[in-house]
Amino acid sequence: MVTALNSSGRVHAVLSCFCSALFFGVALSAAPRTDDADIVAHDEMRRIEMIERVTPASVCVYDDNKRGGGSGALIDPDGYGITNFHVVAKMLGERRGWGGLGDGEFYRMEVLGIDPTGDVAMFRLLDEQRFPSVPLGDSDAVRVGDPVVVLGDPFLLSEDNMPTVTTGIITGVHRYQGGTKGNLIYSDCLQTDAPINPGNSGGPLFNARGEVIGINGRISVGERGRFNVGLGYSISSNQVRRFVPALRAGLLARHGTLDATVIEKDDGTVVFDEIGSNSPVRAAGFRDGDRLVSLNGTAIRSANHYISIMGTFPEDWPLTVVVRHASRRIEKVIRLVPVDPKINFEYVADREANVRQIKRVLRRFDKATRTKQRSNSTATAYSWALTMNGDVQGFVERGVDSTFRVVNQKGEPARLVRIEDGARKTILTFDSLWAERPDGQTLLPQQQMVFTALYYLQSLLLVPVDERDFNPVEHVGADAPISPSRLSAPDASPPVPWEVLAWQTTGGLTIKVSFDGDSGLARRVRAFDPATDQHVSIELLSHRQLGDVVWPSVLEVATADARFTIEVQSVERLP
Amino acid sequence: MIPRSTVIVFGMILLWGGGVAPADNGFERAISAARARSVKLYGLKVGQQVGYGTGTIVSAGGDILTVYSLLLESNKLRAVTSDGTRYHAELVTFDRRTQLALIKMTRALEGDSSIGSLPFFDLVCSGDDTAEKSSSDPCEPELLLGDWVLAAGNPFKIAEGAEPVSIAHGVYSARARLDARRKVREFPYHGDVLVIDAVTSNPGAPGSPLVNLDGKLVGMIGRLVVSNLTHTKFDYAIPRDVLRSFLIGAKNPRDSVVANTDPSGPTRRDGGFARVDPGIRLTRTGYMKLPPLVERVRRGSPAAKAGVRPDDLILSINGHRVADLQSYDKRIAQVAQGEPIDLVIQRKKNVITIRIPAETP
Repeated sequence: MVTALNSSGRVHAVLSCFCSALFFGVALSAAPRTDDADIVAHDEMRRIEMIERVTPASVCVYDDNKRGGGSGALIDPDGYGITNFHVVAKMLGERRGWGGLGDGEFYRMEVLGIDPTGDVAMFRLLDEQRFPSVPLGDSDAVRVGDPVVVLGDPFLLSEDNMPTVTTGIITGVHRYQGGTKGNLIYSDCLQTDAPINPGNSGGPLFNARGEVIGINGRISVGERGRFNVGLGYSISSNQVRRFVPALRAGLLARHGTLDATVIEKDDGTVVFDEIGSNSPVRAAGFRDGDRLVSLNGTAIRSANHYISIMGTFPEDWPLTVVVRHASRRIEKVIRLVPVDPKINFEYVADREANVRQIKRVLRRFDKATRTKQRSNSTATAYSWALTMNGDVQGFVERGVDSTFRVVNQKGEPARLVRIEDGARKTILTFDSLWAERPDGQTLLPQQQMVFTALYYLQSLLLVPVDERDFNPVEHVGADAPISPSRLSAPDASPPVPWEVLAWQTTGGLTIKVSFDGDSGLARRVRAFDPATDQHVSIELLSHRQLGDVVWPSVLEVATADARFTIEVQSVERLP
Repeated sequence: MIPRSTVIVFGMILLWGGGVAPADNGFERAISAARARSVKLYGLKVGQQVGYGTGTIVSAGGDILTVYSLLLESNKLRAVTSDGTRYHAELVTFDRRTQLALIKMTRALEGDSSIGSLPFFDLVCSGDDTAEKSSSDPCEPELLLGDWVLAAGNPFKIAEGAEPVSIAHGVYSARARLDARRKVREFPYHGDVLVIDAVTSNPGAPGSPLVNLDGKLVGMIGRLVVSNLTHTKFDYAIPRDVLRSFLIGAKNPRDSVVANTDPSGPTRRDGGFARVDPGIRLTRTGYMKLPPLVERVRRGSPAAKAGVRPDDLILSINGHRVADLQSYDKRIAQVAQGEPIDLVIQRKKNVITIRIPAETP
């Protein structure tokens, strides 16, 4: 996916240039002397070019008997495409079907992950070739009145797999269309008057630049029957983007929830009404009656608004929640707990698809962290020098026997201290930590979790690719691509989510590492102890090459009761 | 002023190039004007009729034009403005023929949001509405065949509270006479409508303002009807001039004289609207295409005073040719209170002009 997304990014950049060039061309030619008809013709030509450019990536989706059907769009050159869950729902037995492209050919298609709650599914066309693909756009930048183009196969008209084109404008944004029995919910979706009819389901909604801003899957119907009456709904591309990693990895994607309901009070404020007993909101210390101010920087206007926004995130996604308790403003980053999709069949995750994504993530990671001359060497013993506030506090050593300890300059068990108001405050004590042999009785569980997390990170950096064991690894989906505390700064285009690999340690911990699809680097390491319900999180804020490996150089560690930064100044190979 | 064609062409350029610069997509001004002047209505749900609808604000004080339906008969009628404020509202009057209705927002449901500063479409051209002032002729915004039109309403009750209503866009295709029915009953209005190519015949959409690209009101989506010609639901709007006559009459019921030219008779609640009655009765028996031949002139009426006589054949009203009864009805309905009526009449072999002065109340 990483490669693919990168190349989409390139395509995107090229398109932007193309568009702006044309835009300026038109602006110049729109000088008073120019004939209006020329401008209109130019404008139409550009629309036609855009449609011609995106048409090859439009897919007619059929089941194994080349019946039934819907639409879809390829979003990367490896043949990965998106459609509606309700389009592939009847294909889940064999997980096979056919994808018809505009070249007139049918390609074998495998159904990968599904998201029944949000009505999204992923498929892959099985062929060696590089497929045409279209980039995902920013659905939050869409404005009412923007022109849109819909491609798809309404009424299954197409005999040669060339899609039908319809156009319209965006006629509503941030809509919520409730689902049936807890599934097929269109949260925070786009509304258009471009005609959408049965068979269009799963097909792309394009903006004027030819970026996919939504997946068309639903229409309002009157008494006349199930066909277009001018009101169609598209799942927003920004929601889809957050689910793509899990769907590619062949998972049953689960949506996230705060597990808390809200009500609107007469004064227009929105307050927590019922916080579930296991809700992360409760764990964060919020209580019934607290006023919900904003989610990820979006001010919450109504109970409907809350439900709508909440429906667009996958499980475990971090949300910045701002609450007003009495007169105090409290801001917390809360990770969403999963909602089980309401399905009446058993869905077994596609392990083959999962391993494919694990390998792809790790290959990119290796490429980003290992220099060429070192690719075959296997350093198994090294030492990190740790500093805080510029002072060397100790060394993290990893021995040839894969043990792990922290010592001070004299080789004694080290302490990490911070100067606070002139007083030295001990943050961590490293009394003979051996990550896999927790014989240090003075070590708190959270401290142990920090070093277990670091141990897994360092294993990734040190174990050669060929010797890696994929069995204990699982691709578990997506993570927010930047530190949630920094989410308030709006990005020009929504960043690609990080992808998360998870390991189960022999000590019963779950270690999750989030990989950045753009650079390939690991950006966040988390450890979770289900026995004690404790979390630690390490943000890898910057990297630098030390020796022949690109090491994380600034690590921001957060435990339940401490938050500190480790700077890695040097790495030494131990004898 | 920029020539019209340039404006439209620019709109289209922005449609397909607008993504690059954060430019207006060509519709935004009209959409925000229409949305701000549209209200969501909630009322009685009766049988298959939905209990929601849309209205068009026509005064700062909360006068709302919409189409008549049973939902307006609720004593819990609510109007929700674009900012989400909820108001009590009540039916003032309606017209059986056009099925237009005037409702009035009375007070806010909560708080004391005063009514009196709402954005509105200045249908009667008081000049109070800044949004309409800029136009050269605020009372008749220009609308040419093929112009973009946008409707802002709440079909299928998609929007709630402060959520913005839905938009439908299309072009103005024709001005034509309505020949339609509701279920098996003939729809009483046979006057002009604007035919548009946007799908607007959806539950909840009637009453939506229809605006041009400048955001000026050009019509309002009418009641859901089925075309007698095609037997399909018909997408149309009641033109601005018809809305205007209705509104003037509905606002000044005592000042106007009820015209009895309409066979359906005066409405319930006495809404005699704006129909100026000069006191002329035409011959109405016989076939459809009857010439506008005067049968009687009411004694003491303005027409009698001006010298109109039985057997006069009316050729034109205020410069508009009237060839038959229908066009006579249409033109006389467009005469506003306080305007004189210039008639061209054929009397035997002579063609004469007669001015019926405006009636001073």
